[in-house]
Amino acid sequence: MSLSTASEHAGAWRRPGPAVLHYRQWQDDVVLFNEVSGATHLLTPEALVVLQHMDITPTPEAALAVILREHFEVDDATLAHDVAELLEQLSSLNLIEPCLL
Amino acid sequence: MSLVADLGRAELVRRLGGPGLLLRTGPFVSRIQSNIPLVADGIGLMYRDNLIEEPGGFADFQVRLRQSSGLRRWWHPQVRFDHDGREPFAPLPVAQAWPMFEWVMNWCVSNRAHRYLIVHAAVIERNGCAIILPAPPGSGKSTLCAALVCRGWRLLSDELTLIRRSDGMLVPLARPVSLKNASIDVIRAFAPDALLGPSVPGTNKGTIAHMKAPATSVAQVGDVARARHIVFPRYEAGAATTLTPMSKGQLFIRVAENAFNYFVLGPAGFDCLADLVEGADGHEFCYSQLDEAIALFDRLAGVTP
Repeated sequence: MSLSTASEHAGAWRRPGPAVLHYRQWQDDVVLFNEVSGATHLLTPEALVVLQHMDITPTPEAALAVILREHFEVDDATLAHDVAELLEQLSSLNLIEPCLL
Repeated sequence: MSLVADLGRAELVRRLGGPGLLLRTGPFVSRIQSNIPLVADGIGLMYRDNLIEEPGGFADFQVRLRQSSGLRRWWHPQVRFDHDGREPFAPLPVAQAWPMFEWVMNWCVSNRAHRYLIVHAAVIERNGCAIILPAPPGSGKSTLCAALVCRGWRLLSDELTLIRRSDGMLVPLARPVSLKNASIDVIRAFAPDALLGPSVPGTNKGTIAHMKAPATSVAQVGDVARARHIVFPRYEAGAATTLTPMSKGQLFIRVAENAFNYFVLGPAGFDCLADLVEGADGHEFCYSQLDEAIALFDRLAGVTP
């Protein structure tokens, strides 16, 4: 698969490589250290749940709405947009990449 | 073991000009060699309460500050820093030898002592409450640190916060406090008894003068402390004294931005910093009046007026 941006991509997503997730969470703040890039990011709990899920298995974009609904109070009216925005953010930080299932 | 003050001027100059003075600062020993009188004067004054090791012993850092030779000895004389045969700094006018010595001592720690997480920050302690003051130049960090130290707070460091990675404790490195420009007269007026060295104009940071670390702070070299607060100070003329809480996430990112070797340490640095943030409250602090600032810090430390 060729590289694509999150907005163009409608397939599945995964965590790149075997890097371990180093993170700490304090209420609504999550700080995460990317072992590969050496960068540190300030994220949301929603982002962490998505990353943890992708750490276990590649995840179709459509499944992320279900996962987020299980963990958080979500607004169904904006959920699809929120998921797309979250994937855009995580992709731009090189924390996730598109893949084939 | 003896102190710098025990040596006498002649022996201090002999060691600096010969085998080297083994100066203990916090957990480090530096072998210092220099033929520049300003360096001997500065060490004799600013480090007189520091321990020295016997010549020939082990040193963590090798510091050589030499006056240029040849024509440069007479025409615009310069000071050169030699670290294990390399010269990481450009030469400076010899009149700036003392500030250069202090910058070199900071450089050695921040570039070599990776068994600590090192943050560009002052640390002071009172009543068992250690407070870290990270801040960029111009924020009033050193002025506030000097004022607190002159009002009974223990100085752990003005410039380099050493966080021991094994247990997160703050390791003292009490060395002179670097004051710049207007801060020099502010502290002279605020604490007339404070021992300040000569003002050195024309450095790339403006005019510099150092305030000697109190003897009691230097003597407590082995007394580690735990950080209770991390305060980002900002001096603003005429501003009210305000303390604004920060979220843990914001605090983590801001401290990481001020760390010298966070990126060198990788996941170990992340864990160390996360533990530090876990155990400390973060605040933004704005002030214009030193007395009000000190009263607020005393309250943080549980000191009753």
